[in-house]
Amino acid sequence: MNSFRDRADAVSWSDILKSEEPHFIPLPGGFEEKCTQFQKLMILKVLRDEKLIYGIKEFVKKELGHKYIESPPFDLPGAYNDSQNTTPIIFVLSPGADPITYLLGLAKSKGMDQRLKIISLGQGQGRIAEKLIEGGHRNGDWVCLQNCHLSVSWMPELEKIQERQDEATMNPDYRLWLTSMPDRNFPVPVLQSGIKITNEPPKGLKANLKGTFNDITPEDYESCTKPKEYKKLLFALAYFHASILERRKYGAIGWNIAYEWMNSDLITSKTQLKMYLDEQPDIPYAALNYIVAEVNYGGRVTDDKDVRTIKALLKRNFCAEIMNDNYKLSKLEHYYAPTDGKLEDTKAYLNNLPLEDDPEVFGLHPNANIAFE
Amino acid sequence: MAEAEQTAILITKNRESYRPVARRGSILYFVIADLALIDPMYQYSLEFFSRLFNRRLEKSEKSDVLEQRLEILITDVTESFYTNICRGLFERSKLLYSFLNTSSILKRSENITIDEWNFFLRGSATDFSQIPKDIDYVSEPVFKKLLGLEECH
Repeated sequence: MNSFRDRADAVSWSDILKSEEPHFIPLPGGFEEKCTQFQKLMILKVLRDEKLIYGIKEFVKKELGHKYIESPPFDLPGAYNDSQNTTPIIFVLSPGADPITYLLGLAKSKGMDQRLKIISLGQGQGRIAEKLIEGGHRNGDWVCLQNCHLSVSWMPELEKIQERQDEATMNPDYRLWLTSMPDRNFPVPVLQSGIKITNEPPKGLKANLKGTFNDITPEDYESCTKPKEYKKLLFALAYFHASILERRKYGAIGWNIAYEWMNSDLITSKTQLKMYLDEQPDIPYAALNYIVAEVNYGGRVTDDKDVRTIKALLKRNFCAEIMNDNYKLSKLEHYYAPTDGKLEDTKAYLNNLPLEDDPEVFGLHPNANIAFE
Repeated sequence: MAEAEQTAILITKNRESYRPVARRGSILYFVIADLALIDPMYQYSLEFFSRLFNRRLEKSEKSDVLEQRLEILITDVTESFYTNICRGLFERSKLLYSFLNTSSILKRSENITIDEWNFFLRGSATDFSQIPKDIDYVSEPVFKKLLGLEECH
C-alpha cells in the first residue's frame, strides 16, 4: 500500500490501471523482483479484473512453458493410433463441428473406406446399429454411430454391448466411432473407456488459419493450373473464413446474428475457387465474390446489414490487389497473403502471427474488446 | 538372509527416489478427475490414467543419471497428459485445464500458499467499509481489494 502512496511508484501503478496490456508492465516498488508469478497474478486480479485471462496465460507460460497455452492441433490419426478394437472413439460435437469429413479421410488413408459403416441414430435405428456392431466384431468393419444424444433410450443398450465385448473374439481391425453432443445421459462407462475428441473451429485467427492449412495436402496446394493465383486467393479465403468466425465473439458489434458457418462452407468455396481458376483464362473476381459471399456463406445470413458486411469483408480479400505482395489484409502490418511458395513456407509464416487478435484485424475499433472481456 | 535384506533395502531406496514422478502423477490425476465437474463429457477413469502413465514410463527417453531421468519423466508425463486430455476438451476449457495444472503443481510445492489461493478465488472476508480511501488514482472497489491483498501477507 505504501508503494501506492509513493509518488515515484504511483506513475507506474496508474499506468497499469490504464494500460491495454497491463499484464506486460513490470510492477514498481520492488514488487517485480519480490513476488512469485502467482502473487503478480493476484495483484493483476485486484487492479484489472477484466484482464485476468491474459495474466493467466502469461502465468501458465512462465511456469509451465509456452506449449501449455496453445491448443495442440486436431490430430485424428494420433487418436486412432492410441485406440484398440475395444476402445470406442467419441467425437464430442459442438455447434458447427463436422467430424465426418475427417473420419472419411482417415478411413481412406487406412484403406477402410469400403468398410466404414455410418448410421445416424434415431427412432428404430437401435436394432440396425446392433447388427452393424455385431458384424464389425466379426469381420473388422468400422462402425460409426452418429448423434448418440438423439437416441437416449438406446444408450443403455450400447452400454451393455460395450460391457459384453470380449477382446479375444473380436477382429483387431474393428473400431467403434461415436458422435454426440454433450449430454448427461451418455453412459459414463463408455465415456471413461473411450478416447474423446472435440472438433471445434479453433479459437483465434492464428489457430483457425493454422487449422485450415493443416488440412491441406502439399499435392492439393500445388494442383491448380494457376498456382500463384490459387495460393493467394486460397489464403485470402482462409483469412476471410477465420475472420468472419472470429467476429462472432464481439457480439452485435461483429454480427447482428451469430451464424453457424461450418468447415464445409470453406471446403466448398475452396473447391469452387480451384475449379473457376482451372477453367477460365482470367480470374473471375465478380463471380467468385458472388458465389462465396452470397451463396456459400451468405446462404446462412438472414439479416440484411450482415449481408452487406459479409460482401464488404470478402471484397477486401478477393480483389486484384491481393496478387501484390505488399497488399495488407487489414490495417495491421502482419497480415498479408504470403509470397508464392511452398505449403511449408505458408505454415512457417502462420507460426509467426501474434497469438492475440487485435480487433483491427477484423476492421473493428480496439474498444470492441470490451464487448467480450 | 542378510543379503536379501540388503537387497530389499536397496530396492526400497531406489523406489523411493522416484517418488517425485508419482507425486506429479497424482497432481495431474486429481486435476483430470475434477474436469467432470466442468462438463459431463469430461470423464476419465483411473484405468485410462494409469495406462497412459505406464506407457510414458516405458516409452520416454532413458537416462542413467537419476536426476536427469526424473526430470525427463516429469516433463514427459505432464506434456503427454496435456496433449491427450486437450484432445477431448472444448476450446473454452483448455486454458482452465492448463491453469489448474499449473496452480496445483505450485500449490503442492508450496509456491502458492493456501491464503493466497483463497484470496485469489474469493477475495478477502474482512469488512473494510470504515477505512477511508486515501489514494486518489485508484477507484473505491480497487482500494478495498488492495487492503485485502495487503492483509494476505
